[in-house]
Amino acid sequence: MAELRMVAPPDGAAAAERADPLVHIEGVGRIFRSKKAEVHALDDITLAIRRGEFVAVVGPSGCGKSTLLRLLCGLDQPTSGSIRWEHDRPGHCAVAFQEHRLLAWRSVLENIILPKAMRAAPAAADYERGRGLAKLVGLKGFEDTRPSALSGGMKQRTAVARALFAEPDLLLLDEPFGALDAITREKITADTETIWLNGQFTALLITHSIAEAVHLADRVVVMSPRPGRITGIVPVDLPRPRGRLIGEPPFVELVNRIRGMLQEDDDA
Amino acid sequence: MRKTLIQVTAVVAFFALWKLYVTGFNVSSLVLPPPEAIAVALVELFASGEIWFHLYTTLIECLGGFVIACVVGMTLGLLLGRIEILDTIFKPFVIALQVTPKVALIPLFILWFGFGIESKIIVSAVLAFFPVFANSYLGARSVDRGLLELFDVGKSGHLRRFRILVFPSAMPYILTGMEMAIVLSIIGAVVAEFVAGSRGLGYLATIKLQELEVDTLFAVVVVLALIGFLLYFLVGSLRRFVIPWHESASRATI
Repeated sequence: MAELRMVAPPDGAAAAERADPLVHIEGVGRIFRSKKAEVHALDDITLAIRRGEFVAVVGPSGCGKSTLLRLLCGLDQPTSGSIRWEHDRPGHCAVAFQEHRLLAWRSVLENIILPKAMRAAPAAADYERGRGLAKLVGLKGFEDTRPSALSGGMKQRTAVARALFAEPDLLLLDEPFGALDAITREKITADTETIWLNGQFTALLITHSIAEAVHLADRVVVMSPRPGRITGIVPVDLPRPRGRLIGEPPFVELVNRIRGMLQEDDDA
Repeated sequence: MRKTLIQVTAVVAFFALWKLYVTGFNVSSLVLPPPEAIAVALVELFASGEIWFHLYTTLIECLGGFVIACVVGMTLGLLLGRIEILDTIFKPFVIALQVTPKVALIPLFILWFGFGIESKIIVSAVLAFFPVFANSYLGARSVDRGLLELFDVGKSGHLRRFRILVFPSAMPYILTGMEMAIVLSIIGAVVAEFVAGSRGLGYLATIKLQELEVDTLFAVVVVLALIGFLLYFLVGSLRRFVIPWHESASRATI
C-alpha cells in the first residue's frame, strides 16, 4: 500500500491537469495560532482540480477537509503556499454547507435564487431558472414553502439547488448530506450524480462517507489528520451512473482500499 | 374554557373584596372609591364628551413618541450593531442617555420645545427609545455567522446584505423592543403632561385630583390602562404579520 501515498492521477488525466487546471492548490498550509498552541490544520497540500471534474475528499474529523474548503471559497487564507485559479482570476465558488443555512423568512424559490438576490434585483428569468432547479432537485410543488415546513432532506436539496443556481466555477459540497438518514442520503447522492452528469460542472465534495465519495467522484483524495495531509489520491474508473454498482465487487473493492488507507493512518 | 372560568371568577372576587373592604371599613371615597362609583365616573367621562379631546391628545403624543423612538432606535441600533467604528463613537452617548433618569430631563425639554404637545412627544420618544435601540443592536449582532459566510462567499454588497439578511434576522428582536417601547411611550406622554400639561389624560388626572374627584381620577387611570392594553396588543400582534416565519409569531411575549 505504500506506493499509494505517491499515486498520481492516470496519465491522460495528468496531461489534462497540466493543460487546464481550474484551480491549482500548491503547497498550501494553514496554521491556527492561539496563545496556548499552534494547530497545523493543513500541511503542504498540493492538488489540481480540472474543469468538469468531480473530486471527493475523505478523511477523519480534524484532517482539515473543511479548512481546505474554506480556503478555496475565500472564507480563509492559507498561511503558506498558494491557490492559483485559471486565468489568475479568483474562481467563483458556491457552497452547500453541512448545515442547510437557508433563510427562514424566504420561500424555497426565494432561497434558491438568493445568489442573485444578494447581488442584484432578481429578474423574472431568475425566478424561472430557480423553478427549473427546484424541479431538478425534486422540490417541484414546494417552491412557495418556507424552510421550517420542509424535511431535513428537502432543506439540503434546497441548499444544493441554491449552490447550483450560482453557476459557480467550482461547486463546494461540505458534507451537505451528513445529517440525513441513510436511505435519504443514498437517494440524494444518486440524484446529485445525475445532476452532475447532465450539467458537467466542477465539484469538490467533502465527506466522511467513503461510499459516497466513490459513488460521486472521479478522484478520491484521502487525507490524514494532525497535521492535515494528503496521503493518497485514488482515481475511480467505474462507469456512471454508479447507483447500481453499490455493493458490486469493483465498488466494494475501491471502498475497502480507501478504508485501508484511512486505517493505515490510524495505526501510524 | 376551565381556565377562563377561573380567571373570570378571580376578577369578580377581586371587585367583591374591594367593595367589601370599602363598605366594611367605612373607607372614605376620597381615598378609595367603591368600584361601581368608578364605573359610573367612567361612563360620565365618555357621556359628557369631556374625555375625547384629552384621549386624542395623549394618543397623538405617545404614538408620535413611539414612532420616533422606533425609527431612531432601530436605525441607530442596527448601524451600531453592524459597524464597529460607529459603535465605538456613539456607544458612550447611548449609555449616558440610558443611565440618566430621563424624567429629570423633562424641564429641559419643556424649555426647548415649549408647553405644547411637541415636548410631550419628545419625552415619550426619549423614554421609548432605549428598548428599541438595545434590541435592534442585539438583533444586528445576533445574525447567524453561517449565513454571513454564505453572503461572503456570494460576494454580496453591504446594502443588499443589510436588506436581505441583517434586517429580517433582527426583526424578531426589534419587535420585542417595540413591545416594550409602546408601554414606555405612554408613560412618557402622561408624565410629561403631569409636569407641564394643559391637555391630555395625564393633565386630566392632575385636575381631577385637585378637584378631589377621586372616582373620576380612577376612571382616567382605567382609560390609560385600556389604551396601554390596546396598543400593547396591537404592537404584539404585528409579529403575526411581520415575521410569520418566526416561532414567536404564534404567541405574545407575555
